[in-house]
Amino acid sequence: MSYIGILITYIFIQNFILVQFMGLCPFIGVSKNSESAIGMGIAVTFVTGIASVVCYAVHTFLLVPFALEYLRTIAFILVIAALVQLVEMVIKKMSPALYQALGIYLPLITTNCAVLGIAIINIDEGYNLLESFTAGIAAGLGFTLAIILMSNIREKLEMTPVRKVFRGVPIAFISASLMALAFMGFDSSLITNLHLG
Amino acid sequence: MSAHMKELTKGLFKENPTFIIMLGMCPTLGVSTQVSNALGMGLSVIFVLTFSNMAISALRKIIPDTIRIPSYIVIIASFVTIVEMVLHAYVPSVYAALGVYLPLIVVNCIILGRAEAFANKNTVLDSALDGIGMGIGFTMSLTLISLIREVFGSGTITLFAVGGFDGVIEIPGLSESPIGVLTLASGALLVMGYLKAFFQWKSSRGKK
Amino acid sequence: MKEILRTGIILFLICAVSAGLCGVVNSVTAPVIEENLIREREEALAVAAGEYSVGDEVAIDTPDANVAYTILDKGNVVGYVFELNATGYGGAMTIIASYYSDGELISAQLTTNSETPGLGKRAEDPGYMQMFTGLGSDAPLPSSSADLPAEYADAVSGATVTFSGVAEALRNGSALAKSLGGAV
Repeated sequence: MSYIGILITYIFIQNFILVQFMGLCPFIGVSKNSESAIGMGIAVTFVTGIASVVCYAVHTFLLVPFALEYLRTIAFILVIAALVQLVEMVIKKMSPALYQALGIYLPLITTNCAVLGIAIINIDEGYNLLESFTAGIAAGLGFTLAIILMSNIREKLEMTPVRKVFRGVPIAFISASLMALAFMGFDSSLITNLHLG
Repeated sequence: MSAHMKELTKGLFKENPTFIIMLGMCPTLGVSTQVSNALGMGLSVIFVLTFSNMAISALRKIIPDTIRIPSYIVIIASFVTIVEMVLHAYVPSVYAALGVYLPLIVVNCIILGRAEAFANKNTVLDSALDGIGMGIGFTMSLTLISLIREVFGSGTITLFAVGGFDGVIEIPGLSESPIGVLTLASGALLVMGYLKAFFQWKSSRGKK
Repeated sequence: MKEILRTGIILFLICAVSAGLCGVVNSVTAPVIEENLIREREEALAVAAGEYSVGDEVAIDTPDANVAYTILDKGNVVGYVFELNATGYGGAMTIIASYYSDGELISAQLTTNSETPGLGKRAEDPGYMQMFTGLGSDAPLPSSSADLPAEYADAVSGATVTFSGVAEALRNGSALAKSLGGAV
């Protein structure tokens, strides 16, 4: 698949939140206002991009040569945990302003399914290094897109009369459901018809 | 013994991980298209949760505070890997249906959450009971969602094939013209929203 | 320094024990998984070959098919079974199909696909491929839905992209069987 095809696939067609349900916890938890949604989105995109490359390298250069593919899950989650910690330290040192903005979201990312999810999908789909990186960035961008849309809807919902039992999380889920319905318009036939396969 | 029983039963309703604490949403929605997948996922989570809780509880005095999160993650990941390999070898159909959501049990917030909130402070027995209870609570919620989605979305109930029974129960009337959208991503979020609203309604009535 | 060393050693021990445990389980399950895969493939091929038996693997060099095996009737090669690549509405699909050496389709089954449930997904139904079976030698395989008898129009309507993909793959398979011919 071409790089543009991969981008479109993971941003729209296989949107991590609305189609694959990966990263749903922060999606519901952090989408109450658009500022934190953007912060979370950028932090996730950052980590999915780097994690895709590092996990690909670990899999290809460490696990496969030693026939240890079955340790994939353990290796990947350790790499991601260490990576998140490292990113946190680097950002803290390099740019205190960015750290202020993203700092509180970074520890949450270790347990974000989206990061481990894209790392595993990259291997299952047999992507090469650059394709893995593209898919990682695309998955993060898809997450960002969905969480920003959601936060805007939720800001509007705050001022809308909603029945008491639906207020808060239930109405957020139902809004997400309608968004997912809209995202069904992005179908994998798009890739076929645009000749991006 | 009653104190132990409380650790077991609290996960079922009062602290139900899915509907009350809202943890572990990804697999809940991702694999709930068929009842058999929900049960497979639920049993895997019960296994991982119980054993990781026990291991973490047993090691709670040895693991230094500074490295507790990585240690927990490694312990959880190894149990998940064991489940993955066993399912792949002996129940390949469930393994294929759970797909990427199976390794994602590692980052299921329920498991790390219980390790952090319960297992590192309590005895091995209490932690095991907590794990079983929370696991069963998770399985029940997952089964409920998948029942709604499969019955209305495809008009069938898929269980495991035993002997001559192929494992699929067809519901007359619904299987000819099901509400297909419920089997898709959108339907999962919709069912979850309504169920959460139902639980909010129930708990607000309970308080009065 | 001593503290770092201590935590490091503990973390290392936990990792080592975990990895060791996984290794033990893997050594038990790996052969079973391998066996399952081989059996599954053999079963799928055996189903495709129907009343004949599956022979040796044939080397092929074409993007249309992944693997090819001969099918035998009392030890003589009568045709081939292929795993064919096809493109449907939802992207890539694979079809396991068997042919006589003159290109006539014996049977076909759509396996991996991501077609729309209720529309293209109906191509998985056992009855779907009946519109193709027996064709490919004297009578050509259909290339558009207009070539079909009226009784199959319903199965195809709403899923013409799937139909075209399946038909094209089956035509490729037929041509491949003809080119391999009877002699191996």
